[in-house]
Amino acid sequence: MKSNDTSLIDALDDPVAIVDATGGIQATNQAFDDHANQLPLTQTPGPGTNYLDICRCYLPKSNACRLCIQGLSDLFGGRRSVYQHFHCIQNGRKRLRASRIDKTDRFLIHLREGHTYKNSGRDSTLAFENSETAIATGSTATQRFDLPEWFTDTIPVATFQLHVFSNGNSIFKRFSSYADVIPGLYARDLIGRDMGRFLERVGPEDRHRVARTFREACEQRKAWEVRFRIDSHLDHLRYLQLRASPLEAVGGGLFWNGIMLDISESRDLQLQLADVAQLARVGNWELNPIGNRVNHNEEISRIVFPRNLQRMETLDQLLHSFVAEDRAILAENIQKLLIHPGSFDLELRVRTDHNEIAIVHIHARTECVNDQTMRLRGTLQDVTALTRQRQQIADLQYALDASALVSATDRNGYITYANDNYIRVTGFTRDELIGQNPRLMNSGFHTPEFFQNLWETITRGQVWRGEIKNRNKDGQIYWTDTVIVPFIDESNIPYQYMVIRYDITDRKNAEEKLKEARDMADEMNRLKSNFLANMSHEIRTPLNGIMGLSQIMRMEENVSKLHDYANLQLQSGRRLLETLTSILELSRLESHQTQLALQRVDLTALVREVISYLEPIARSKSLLLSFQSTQPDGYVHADERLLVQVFNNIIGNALKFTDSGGVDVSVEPASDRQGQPFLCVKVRDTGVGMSAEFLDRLFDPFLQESSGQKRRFEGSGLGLAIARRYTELLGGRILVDSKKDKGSVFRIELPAHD
Amino acid sequence: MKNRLRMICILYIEDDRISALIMQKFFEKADGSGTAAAHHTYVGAPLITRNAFRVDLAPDPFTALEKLQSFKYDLVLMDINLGDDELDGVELLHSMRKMEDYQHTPVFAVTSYAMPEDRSRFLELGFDRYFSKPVEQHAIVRAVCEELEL
Repeated sequence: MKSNDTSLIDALDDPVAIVDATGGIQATNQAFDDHANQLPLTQTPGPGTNYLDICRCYLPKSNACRLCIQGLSDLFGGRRSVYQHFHCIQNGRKRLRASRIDKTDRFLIHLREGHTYKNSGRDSTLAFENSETAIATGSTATQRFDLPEWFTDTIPVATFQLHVFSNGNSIFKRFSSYADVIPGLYARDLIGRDMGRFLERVGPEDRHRVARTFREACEQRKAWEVRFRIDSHLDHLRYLQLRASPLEAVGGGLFWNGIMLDISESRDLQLQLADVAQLARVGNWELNPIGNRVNHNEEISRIVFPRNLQRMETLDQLLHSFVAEDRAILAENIQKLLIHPGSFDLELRVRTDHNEIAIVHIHARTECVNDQTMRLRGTLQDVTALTRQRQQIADLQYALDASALVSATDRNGYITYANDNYIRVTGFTRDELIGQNPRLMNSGFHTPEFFQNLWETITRGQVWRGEIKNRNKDGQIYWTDTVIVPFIDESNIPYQYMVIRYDITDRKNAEEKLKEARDMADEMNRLKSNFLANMSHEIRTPLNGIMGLSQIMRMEENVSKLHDYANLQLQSGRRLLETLTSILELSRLESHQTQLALQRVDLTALVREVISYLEPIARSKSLLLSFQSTQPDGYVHADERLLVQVFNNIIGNALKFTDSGGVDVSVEPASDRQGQPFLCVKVRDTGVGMSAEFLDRLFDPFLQESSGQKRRFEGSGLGLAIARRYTELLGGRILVDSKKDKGSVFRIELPAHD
Repeated sequence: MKNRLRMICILYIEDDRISALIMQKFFEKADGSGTAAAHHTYVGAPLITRNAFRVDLAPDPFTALEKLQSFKYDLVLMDINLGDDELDGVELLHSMRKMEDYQHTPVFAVTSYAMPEDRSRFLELGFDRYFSKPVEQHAIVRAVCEELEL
């Protein structure tokens, strides 16, 4: 049990000692004892020791020490009422203030944290005043247990007095006016009320604890300290810190002097800081190079030891939590920093107690006094998620770059980025591409509307997809399957376009080939149907003659007429036979089954013979059929039967398609490109001629100009097809020159033979 | 109408000489009874009891148009391939239908175009009936009689 004034000074945070006029210590509070324990003293300060000795001991042997002892001596001798001094001791700077307690021969020595006069400010001065007065009044108030109201009401601290009777009843004697300022406490109402009423004001979650600690403090007659929330109905929660010291009251029971501090703001800050630390997964740490002691907050434990939230106390422990390679890096950096003050930032791997790898960003900087490194301070942040995300993005980018042609353009379509694939396919260098418009690769294949549609789509902020035919730097065509993705800013306007292309040139080429093949197959099919239709027509017309005449002959009684009908029937039969023969010959040619009987043939003589056969037809149409030869005896190596058919057909055609004028046939020498000697049979007519379009397909089977329903000339349409195939089979060729309505010239060229 | 005997005039537009001749002979020996054998049944009977047919020939479209304008035929038989660059049977039919006298006159296609789809093709193009060559006498004569309700 302490005396009344000791109880008063125990309520104070700052180190306080009460000394007599010689400096002999009469009483100290806990803070003073703690403070003194850190000092390199030979004896424990307390009653019986002298404060001046302490000064001499822990103050450096300096002018400051001399001044301090001088000042205190002046105070004790009554030469001054207050002495203030600022001095530097080992664990920081302290401000000392000493004053006489009331009118007694006792003095109060009050130490206070403070680096400068400025920082110590008014509050600390007030605190000094407060403590002095408290002691002053306390010392004379062993019978009167209250502080003067004028004093307690002027200081910005809520103080209270509580009397607890021996029967357990309690009554609040007093609250300073500052207690009224604490929202939700309603201090004025509590005066004259008991502890129970006070507990009603305490937040429900804290109420039980407050009551329990108070009961314990009463039982043990020890200082009572508790933090709790006021059950304020206001929005803002208030947190209070209560401290009180017990005194043995006259007539039994305890008399409590206490203060209440509003710690809401500092608590809020603490909570916020903890929230921020947890949210950002960032903790702070410091390293004292003397003894390599490490101190850190709880967040670091959460990062490194998520399972058992272990604390690290030495540098070795800290280093040990990193994976082996990174441990060395960190150790080296810390050593460097201790020698050369500065800072570092590293990203290193930690092995957690879940045996997982976490990536942490560790920051450290030196804290110096007079260029001497006192300690390292720093942060440690868990950046695993961030790093993984970054890695994922990098992986995606790698995958995209590896497979696609990627480029980006600004909002106006000018290229700002091009990956290696894109550069390889376009054939341009990166420098040639950047800043250019992709128009550079325009093949001219697509219409302006195509690009307008594209541009309108992406400027609307929509994704465009399509196949584009491009031209690379060398002029080669390439196809791309293209996706253009607009990136949109806050006002919904694209600020960038990402263009992802896949090279589909091979596919497109294959498609084109397939289409060609399909078109060709369609065309073959069409020709085949045409061939069948024409064949049917060519067979039915003479068959109609044969069958129709048969029906007539069956009914005809006039026998003399039967002879004429039979002749007509024969004519129809011959035409049918001719068609059938042609079809067979063509089909044998197509299947390469034509048998050749090659021999030395006198071409001039052969042509002359064919002409003589055709002479009657020319005469019947009143046409002039002439023959001349500059090559009296031109020989070829050929099959005579085939040659007769070729000339028969071509000269016959010339006569068939000529209505007036005549047909000129001549044999003359020629040569092919290699200079080999050829013989050329030229057949010139003054007939209907042919259009250029018709000439292209002249040798297709069953073709006559005005095909289909408008065929003017009867005939199978197979003759020229067969003639050309025969000529080619014999190593020659047929050339045609013709103009519509002006006549035609056929040149049948065959290799000359000695 | 059935009992009124008269001369039925047919124009056959055909460039193939033999086919044209055959058609003429078919109708020369036929009567309105619609049978090819009618001739034998009514031999010796008074001429007045028989419907008579006259088949005029036109070897090309222009001759055909001339004849159509100079005389009103009861029925037209038309080859499709007329050996002319400008006009085929189908186009000739359309020109005919624009002539006042021939807006409803029966026109038969008689052609060597005889692929399976040709029948429906020509009927769709506006021919009243379709015959593929070779033509059977009784079939064409009966069809003409039916069409003219003889």
